[in-house]
Amino acid sequence: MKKILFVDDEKAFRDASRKLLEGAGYIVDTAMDGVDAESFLENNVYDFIITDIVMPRKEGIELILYIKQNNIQSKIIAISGGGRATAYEYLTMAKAFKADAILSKPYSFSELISTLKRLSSDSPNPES
Amino acid sequence: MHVSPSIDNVLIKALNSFDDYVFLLDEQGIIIFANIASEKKLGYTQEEFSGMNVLDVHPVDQRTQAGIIVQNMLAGTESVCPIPLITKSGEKVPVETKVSFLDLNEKKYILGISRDISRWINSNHQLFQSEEKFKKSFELSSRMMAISDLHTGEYIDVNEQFTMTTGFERHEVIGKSSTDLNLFKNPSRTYLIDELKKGKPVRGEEFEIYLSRKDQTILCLFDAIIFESDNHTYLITVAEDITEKKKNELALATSQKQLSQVLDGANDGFWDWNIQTGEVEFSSRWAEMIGYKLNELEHTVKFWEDIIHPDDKTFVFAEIAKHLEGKTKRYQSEHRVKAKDGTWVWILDRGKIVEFDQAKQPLRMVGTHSDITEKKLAEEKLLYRESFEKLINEVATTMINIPLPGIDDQVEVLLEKTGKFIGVDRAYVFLMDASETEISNSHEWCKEDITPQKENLQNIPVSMMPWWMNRISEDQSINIEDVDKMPTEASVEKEILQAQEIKSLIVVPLMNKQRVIGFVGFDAVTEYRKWDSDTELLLRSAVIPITNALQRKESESAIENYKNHLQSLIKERTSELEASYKALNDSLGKLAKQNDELVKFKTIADKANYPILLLSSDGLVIYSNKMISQMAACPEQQLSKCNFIEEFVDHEGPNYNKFSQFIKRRSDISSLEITIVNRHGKKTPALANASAIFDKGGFLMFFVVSFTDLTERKKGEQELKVLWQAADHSASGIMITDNDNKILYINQQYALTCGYTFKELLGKTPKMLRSFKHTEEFYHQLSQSIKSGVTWKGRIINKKKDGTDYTEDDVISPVRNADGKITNFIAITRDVTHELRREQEIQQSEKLRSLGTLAGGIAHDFNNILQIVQVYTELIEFQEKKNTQIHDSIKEIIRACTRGKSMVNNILTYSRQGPNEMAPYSFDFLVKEIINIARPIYPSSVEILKNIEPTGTVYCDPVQIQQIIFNLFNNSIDAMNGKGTITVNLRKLENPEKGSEQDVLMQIIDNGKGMKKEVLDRVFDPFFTTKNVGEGTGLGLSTVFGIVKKHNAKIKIESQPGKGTRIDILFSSNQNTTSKA
Repeated sequence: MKKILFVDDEKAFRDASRKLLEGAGYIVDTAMDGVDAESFLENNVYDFIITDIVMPRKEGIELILYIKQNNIQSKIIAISGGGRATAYEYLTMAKAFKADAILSKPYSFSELISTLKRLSSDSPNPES
Repeated sequence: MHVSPSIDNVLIKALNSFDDYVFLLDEQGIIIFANIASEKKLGYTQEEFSGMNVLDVHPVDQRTQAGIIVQNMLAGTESVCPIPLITKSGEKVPVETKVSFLDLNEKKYILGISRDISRWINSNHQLFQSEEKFKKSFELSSRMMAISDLHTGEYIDVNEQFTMTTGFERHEVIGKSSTDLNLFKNPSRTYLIDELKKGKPVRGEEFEIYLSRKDQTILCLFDAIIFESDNHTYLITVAEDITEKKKNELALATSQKQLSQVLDGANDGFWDWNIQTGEVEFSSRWAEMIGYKLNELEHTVKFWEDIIHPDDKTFVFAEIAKHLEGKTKRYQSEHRVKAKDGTWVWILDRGKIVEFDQAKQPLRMVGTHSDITEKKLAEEKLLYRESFEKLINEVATTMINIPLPGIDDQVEVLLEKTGKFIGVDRAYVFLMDASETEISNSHEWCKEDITPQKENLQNIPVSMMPWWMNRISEDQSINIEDVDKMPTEASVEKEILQAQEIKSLIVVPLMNKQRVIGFVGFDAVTEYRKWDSDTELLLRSAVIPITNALQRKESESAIENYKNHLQSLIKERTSELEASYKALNDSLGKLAKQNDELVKFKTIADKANYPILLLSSDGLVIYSNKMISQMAACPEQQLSKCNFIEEFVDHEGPNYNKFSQFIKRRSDISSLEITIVNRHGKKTPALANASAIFDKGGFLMFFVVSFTDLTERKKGEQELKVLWQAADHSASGIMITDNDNKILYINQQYALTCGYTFKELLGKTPKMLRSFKHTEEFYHQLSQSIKSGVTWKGRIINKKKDGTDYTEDDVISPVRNADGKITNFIAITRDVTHELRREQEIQQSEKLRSLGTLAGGIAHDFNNILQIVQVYTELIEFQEKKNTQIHDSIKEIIRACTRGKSMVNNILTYSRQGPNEMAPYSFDFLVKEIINIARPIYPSSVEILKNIEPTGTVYCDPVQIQQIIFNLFNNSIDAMNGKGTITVNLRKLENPEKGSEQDVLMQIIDNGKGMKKEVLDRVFDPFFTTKNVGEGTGLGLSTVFGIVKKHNAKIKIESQPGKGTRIDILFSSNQNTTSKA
């Protein structure tokens, strides 16, 4: 079973996403922001990290940089409700910092699942 | 030597005697003392060492790791640190370091001892002297080590790392050569040996090794030395697997390259600043944005600082400082930087710290430059334009409402306001005289300390300035940046301007009905100024109120004159008549009393100051006074007995027959207009009065005839005609009614405005023009007000003959006769429909802009909320798999979320201020493509017809063009209830409207339900929708409007209820006009 770390500062969203992903057969940990996520990453290996961008303490772009700098092999999906000027502002930045996929909020669960499937088949993760 | 006094001298001596590098640190890792060996090897003096962090003598890229190992050693979890030291000049010194706590004089210190291990590698002698140590390091080294026979190549010994990496057992290797093991793909060993034979050790050569056991090739870093022992020559090789490291380096380089490519693709320049060294990597786009090539840039932060506009520096540095201090999450600034060619480029600069060092100090910051010059210029231009238009409207409104005597002052106020706005030193009006041969300065405004020129500029012959007046008469502006550079044909004008010390000026003509009546000019005296064509156009509209005011002044004073003249005429005539009747009464009274009436009459008549005659019953002159002689140019004697009527009244003139018959009829005549012809043939218009005088017995005695000279009055009438003509041609609309409100007169302008001819309105009342936009009460109050004798000022919406409404500003005044009784009303009106429309347009764009700002602020949060709604809905769907009723409801909720998201996107697209994504596209091709994409989205019950002709390129943003077409299609399909035909026409116009920049026409036509006029008026309002709640956002057309505006295009909607709607969008194929927008 694939493991997912789901990072978003909105508790209600985290909880529901966890239930849906678990229902779809994933093992899910949730973190409330970048700081929280990093402590999970110290002791766990994930196939996917799904992260929001705008978060307190440590935000998504910083988390992505942390993941890349520490050579963590998980696939990254960045999600965001968009910025001031365009809906894709933060996500374009996430892509530039090498997130594997981006989804703009609100996305549907089926979009998320098909993204996860696509990433799994794209290039099989050597560690899994 | 400066050493903390608390450290024992004996200890220092002891430490100095060590060959190892010894450091005494405080608990924070700051060096308190370093021994002589350290000073010598690392090249720092004791003073330099003191206060340095011990990590600073480690290589920059390994400091973090060193810090961690030191902590572990102090905690007892690690025993030795393998990280090398680094000398002041940057050379690495391989060492193994051990640290421990040291208690001295009740204080805690850290003692670090670094043992130099370069000797083990570099020196044979040392190697054999400490064989034990060599063995240990051979065994434990994290690098692969092998000893082989130099000549045979057979391995004599290999270490554990070697077997681990290669996958061979030790016994499989010993006695074999690298060739036997197939380790090297190329003759690397031969190369190594050749190099070594040259007499120096090999360091840091990179070779690939093939691991047959693992079927894997790895990249290794080789060191090798030769040593001799027991008459054998041995080769020792040390190799490190650097495959991963290399891969990471490559990956990092690639990712950086990709990042800058991504950013380049987004049209942004990219910078990467090493905060501690001050070095900055710039991307080629960064350089290009400010006109440099990448290799022309100095890659330092100083270069970047130097090109920031001096006025912006404080702000930019403050923003960076805020971010470096951790007060902001991101650095962002809009400022100007100097391009290579010296021009200023507006930049949106964004950045963020991405790395910190061990001490939490910022190490690296990356960011982007976006060129926002166009946006900034457009903003400035728009702001300039809007405030200018506001000013014009404000002045024009004041001008309308000001009473006649204040007009000249107000014209000067207008000059002042406009002059100050465009930043000149002097502004003035010149008017042409009636003969159009001379011009004079009529109004002037000067800034403080600027010499007025008005007095010097009176009655200047037009012929003096042929070039100037030619341009003005062709309705052209004169816009001169530098007077000294005026063309030779304008040399006279140049001299005049230079004499007034004018540097730059802009002049616009004053036009009234296609006729030039003068011009308005603006001078810059103190410094050179430059005005763009926008300013020129705005100035032209700014001076229209001047024309109107002067016209109003002219026509109002004409009417004033007319009124006065009427009054004086009435007065004059009344007094004349009074005088003559008095005289007649007096004389008749006397005649009745006395017998020699005739004598008496003559006495009186002699004194009368108007012509009097006595005629006998057969019409011959009995008596004439002096005034008759004057009028007839004939002495009294010659007049006697002559037939006056026959000889001196013009037979061709008016009323001759009627007048000549009064003798026969013996009747009275009063105020009959006739013409007197004197001896020399000169004609004099006159009013004749005649009475027959009878004696007591009722016999006719004689006729008394008197005349009133009408010459003066006729002249007055002529003048009046001229005045009427002035009123007729006034730029203001004029309407005159009698006191029953019947229309007596309208001038041409009024007829033009309301669409009726004079004949059609004559005798009607202004009720005909009512628009039903006002209440009965409103008209009643207006009528009450003017009937009570008060002038009414205000705005009335009327209806034209063609049924459309127009708005006029009115001044309605009563006209009184000599008795003070109101006889007429005069309305002076101005059609302000167009001005109002322009005001509304400005308001519209303000409204949309503020909506965009608001939307930008809430978009992110709003999408997040939608996401929560959606995810819980999906959760319910998941949990209630079997309940189909719930599924239908859930679909609706999810549909609503999707619509919400697209609404936010629509708002953002509308208000998007980001970098322009405009480029020239083959427009017909693009539109075809978009329709092809759209086709499958829409139901098959909708037919989409295409009539697309080649258009050439249009400068546009294809994503936005797609949005226009999609939004319009959506509306059409809704209007057709999902069934009908949409036609898309696209063509290039051969004869675009004159003066119009737009020449590519796209039409989208549907046969849906159409729109009523009330709806049409509001379709571009944001959030206005005819769709039911929940079906449409009301942003579709506003978004279209926003995009159209951004493309400098024009949009027009025509719709007929029940028949359908046609939308015309005119784009411009000229890139210049589009990119200006």
